[in-house]
Amino acid sequence: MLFNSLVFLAFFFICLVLYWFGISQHKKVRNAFLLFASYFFYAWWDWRFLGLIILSSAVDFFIGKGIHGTDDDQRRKWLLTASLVVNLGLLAIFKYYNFFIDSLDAVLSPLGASVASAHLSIVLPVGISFYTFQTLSYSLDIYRKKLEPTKDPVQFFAFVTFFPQLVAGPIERARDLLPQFDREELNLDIAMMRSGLLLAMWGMFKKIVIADRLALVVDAAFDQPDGMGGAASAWALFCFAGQLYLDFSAYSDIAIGISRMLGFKLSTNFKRPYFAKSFSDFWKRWHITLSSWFRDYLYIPLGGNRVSKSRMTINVMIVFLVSGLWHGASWNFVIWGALNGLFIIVLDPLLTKVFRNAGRVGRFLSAAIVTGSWTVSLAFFRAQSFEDAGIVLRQIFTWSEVESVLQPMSDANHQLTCGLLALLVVVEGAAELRKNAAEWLLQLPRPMRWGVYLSLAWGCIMLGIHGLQVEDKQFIYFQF
Amino acid sequence: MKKFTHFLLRGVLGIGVLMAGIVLSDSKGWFDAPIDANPHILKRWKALKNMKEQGQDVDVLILGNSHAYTGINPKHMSARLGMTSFVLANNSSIWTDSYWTLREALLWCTPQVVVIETYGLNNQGLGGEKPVHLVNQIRAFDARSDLKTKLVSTPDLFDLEDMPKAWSQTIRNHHYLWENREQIAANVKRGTPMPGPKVNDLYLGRFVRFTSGLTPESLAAYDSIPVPVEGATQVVHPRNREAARWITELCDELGIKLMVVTLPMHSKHVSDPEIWAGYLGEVVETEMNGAPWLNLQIDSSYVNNPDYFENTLKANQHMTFRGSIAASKDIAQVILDEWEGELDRRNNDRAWVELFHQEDGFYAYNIPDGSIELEGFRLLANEMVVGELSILDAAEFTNKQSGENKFLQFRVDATSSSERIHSGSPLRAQFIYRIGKGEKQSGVIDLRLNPELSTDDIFIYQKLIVKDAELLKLEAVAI
Repeated sequence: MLFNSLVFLAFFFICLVLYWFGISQHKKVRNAFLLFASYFFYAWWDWRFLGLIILSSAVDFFIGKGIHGTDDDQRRKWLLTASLVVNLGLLAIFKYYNFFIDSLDAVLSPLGASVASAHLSIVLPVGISFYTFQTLSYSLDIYRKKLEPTKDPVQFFAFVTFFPQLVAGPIERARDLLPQFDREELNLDIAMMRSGLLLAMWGMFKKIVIADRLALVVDAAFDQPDGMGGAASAWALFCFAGQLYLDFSAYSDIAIGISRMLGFKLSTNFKRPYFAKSFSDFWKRWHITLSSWFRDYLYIPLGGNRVSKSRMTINVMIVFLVSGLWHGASWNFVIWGALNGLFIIVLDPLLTKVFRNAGRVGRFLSAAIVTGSWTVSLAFFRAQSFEDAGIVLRQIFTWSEVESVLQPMSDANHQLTCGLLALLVVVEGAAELRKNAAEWLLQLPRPMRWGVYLSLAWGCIMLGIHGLQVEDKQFIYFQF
Repeated sequence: MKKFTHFLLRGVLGIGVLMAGIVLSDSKGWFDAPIDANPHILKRWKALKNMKEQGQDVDVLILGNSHAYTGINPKHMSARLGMTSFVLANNSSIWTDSYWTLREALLWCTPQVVVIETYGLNNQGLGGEKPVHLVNQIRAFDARSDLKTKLVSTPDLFDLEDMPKAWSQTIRNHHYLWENREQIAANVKRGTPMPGPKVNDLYLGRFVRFTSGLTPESLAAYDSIPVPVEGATQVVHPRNREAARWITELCDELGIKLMVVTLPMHSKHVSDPEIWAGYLGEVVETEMNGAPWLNLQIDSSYVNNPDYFENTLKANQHMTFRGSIAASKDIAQVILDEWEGELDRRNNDRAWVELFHQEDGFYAYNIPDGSIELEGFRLLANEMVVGELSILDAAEFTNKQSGENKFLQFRVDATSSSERIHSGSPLRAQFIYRIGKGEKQSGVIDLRLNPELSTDDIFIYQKLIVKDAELLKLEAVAI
C-alpha cells in the first residue's frame, strides 16, 4: 500500500475514524488495533512476508526479556548474538545473498569456476532493512542497560510494525516510540492533528508534484545514459539529487504527519540537508535516524572520535561502507558509501579551513560544494551499473546543446518544474531561517490555513504526475 | 470525540470543495480530450440510441473487443439472418466490460440473440496491461451515458486508483496544463463538453480497418520469429470467468439466446490452438451452460487463408474485410441452425427491407418476391434449370458498394453442384444486351464465385458491370 495511493487514503481514513471514535481510549484495544492495521497494511503487498516481521519481532521480544532477566554476562552476550544472527541473517539471506553469490562468481569465473547456479530467485521483502534495524536497536539498548524491556508483546509487536514508519522509516528507537504505546489515555490534540495533516499534505505534494516530475527527467536520462550530452547529464544528476531528497523526505513527512494524526510523535528524519555547510553537517540532516543508528551502534562501539586520527578515519570509512551496503546490495552503493566517507575525511577539513571566516558567502559556497559533491556521488546511487555511472559522469564533460536538457519534457513542464524547485528553495530557505515554518503556518487565520490545505490538495490533483500514461510511482527508499 | 467530529466534518467539507471544483470543470468540459479522428466507440452508442429513437430494434447484439468489430460484419449478418445485427464492441474489452456494456445496451434495445467473442476472456484483469488497456477501458466507460449503470459498474471495471480517472476528464487530462494548453483554451472558449459524433448513415458498429491480407513476405517471416500468440498461455482470467457467468445469467433471465464465437488468427500466428480451445471450452461448458460455440481458430478453411488476416506479425491480429464476411455468414448459420424456428426475423418486413436493401450483402440472401418495389433492383430470372445447374435466381442491382456500376448476381443451388462449381470456375452467362442507346448485341459475362457470401446451400456468383448496360435477355448459362 503506497502512501500516494487512494487505497492508502481510504485505509487511513477508516483507521482514523475507528481510532478516534472509541479505540484510542483503551490502551490494549488501541495497540491491538494498531498492530492489526499495520499487519493489514504490510500484507497488502505480500502477506507471506508477514512471517518474517513476526519472527523478527518475536525473537527480539523474547531475547530482550532474556537479556534483561539475567546478570550472567556470558549469557547476555549469547542472547545478543542470537538476536544479531537472526536479524542480520534474515537481512543477509533476503537482501545480500545473491549479491555475495554474484560477487563470488565474478571472482571465480576468471579461474574457470562458477557459483552462478547458487543464485536464488528471492524477492526483497519491503522495508526489511528498516524494521530489522528497529528491532535490533531494542535488543542492543537492553543489552547496554539503556532500556527496560516491555512485558506486553502486543505493545512490542505494534512498535516494530507501526504502519506509518514500517517500510521506509524513520527508524525509531524503542526508548522514544515504545513508551508512546504504553500511554493509558490518549486524548486528541487538535493542534497535533492539524500539524500532522499539514505535514502529510506537504509530503504528498513534494512526492506527487515535484519528485515524480523530476523523475521524468531522471528516468529518461538514466535509461539511456550514453544518449545524453553534458548539459543533459548534469541536469539529470541535479534532478536526481532533488528527486531523492524530495521522495524520501516526503515519505518521512507523510509518516510523521499521519503518526501525529494518530497521536504519536516520530523522530525528525530530514533537516534541509542541502543547506549543510559540511559533510558532517549533511549527515546530521539527511536520513537522521539511520545516521544516528550507525553512530550509536557502529561508530561509537568502534571507538568513535576517542581514538587516533588514523583509526577514526578507518571507523568513518567502515560506517559509510556499511551504510552504502545497507542502501543496496550492489557495488554501486558500496562505492557511493565510500565516496561519502572520503568526502567527510578529505573535504570537510578543507571546507572548514577555507570558509571558516567567510561569513554568509562562505556558508553558501560550502553548501554548494557539499551538495555538488553529494550530487556527483549519486551517479553511483542511481545508475543500474558501475559502467552506467561512469558513462553519466563522463558525459558531463562532453559538449552538448543546452536544449538537450529539455527533451524529456514539454517546455511548459520544464518551466513548471523550475518554478516548483524555486518554490521549494523558498519554503526550505524560510524554514531554515525561521526554524519552524509549519508552526508559523498553523498560526495563520483559519481561511488562510484552509487556503494552504486546499492549494496543496489542488496541487496534487492538478499538477501531480498521475494519469493514464503514468505507472504508479513507488517511493525510492522502498527498495531498501 | 466532539473535537474529532468537528475536524472530520471540516475535512469532509474540504473534500467537498475539491470535488465541486472537479465537477464544475467536467461539466464545462475544460479538460476534454480533442475529438478522436475515428470515435467509433461513441458512434456505436449514438447509433444504438438513434435506432431506438427511430423505432428500430437490434435483434442480434455482438459483444467483444477489436476482434469483434473488425472480424464481424453486421450488415452481412443482418442480411443473412434477416435480423438487425449490431456490434457493440470496445477496444481491448474484457468480459467484465462486455457484461456492463450489455447491461447498458439493454436500456436501448431488446436483442433476441447475444453473440460474444472470446478474446476478452483471456488473461486480463482490471485494466489489463496498464496503461494501454486502461486507456481503452476508460474510453469504453466514457462512451456509456447511463449514470446509474456506470456507477454500479465502476467497482467491477476499475481499481480504486483508476476510478477518479475513469469518471473525470479533469483528473484524467490534468496534464494538458503543461502538455496541451491550446486544448484547454479551446475547451474554455467552447464552454460546453465536447460534442459527440454525428451518425447519419446506417451504422451497425463495424470498423473496417483491414482490407488486404497477409503478404507472402509476412508469411515467410513467420518462420524466423517466435509464434506471436501462444495458445497455451492464454489462461482465462478469474474475473472474466465470473463475467461469463453474469452474462449467461442475464441472458437466461431475459430469455435472450447466447452464442459464443472465437474469431481466428492465421495458423502460423497461434501455437497450440487446441489447448487454448480447451481453456475456452471449459468456461463455455461450466459457466455458460454449454452455449453454442463457434471456434473458428480450429477451422482450417479460415486459419490457412492469408487473405482473411491483417498483415501483421504483432500479437494482436485481426480479420480483414473478406474474413469478416465469411465469419459473419458462419456465425449467422449457427444461429439459424440452433434457433431458426424461435427467431422473429424481419426479412419480410417492408420497413426493414427498405432500410437494408442498399447495404452490402443484402441481395446475396434476400431476393424480393416482387411484392416490394426496390429502387435499383431487377430480377432477371428465377428457378431455372440449365443442364446440371439449378439456378435459383439471377438479378442485377445497385447498392452502396456498386458505385458507378451495378452488380450482376446469380444464385445457384449448391446441392446441384458439380466438380467445376466447387473448383470455383466462373459462371458464364450469355446475354443480349445494349449499352446506353447503342445497338443490341450478344455477349458473355464471366461471373466469379464469391466464397465468402456462398453458403452450404447457395453458391453466389457476382460481377460488377457498367450501369449503362441494359441486360435484355439471358440466352445461356454454363460453368
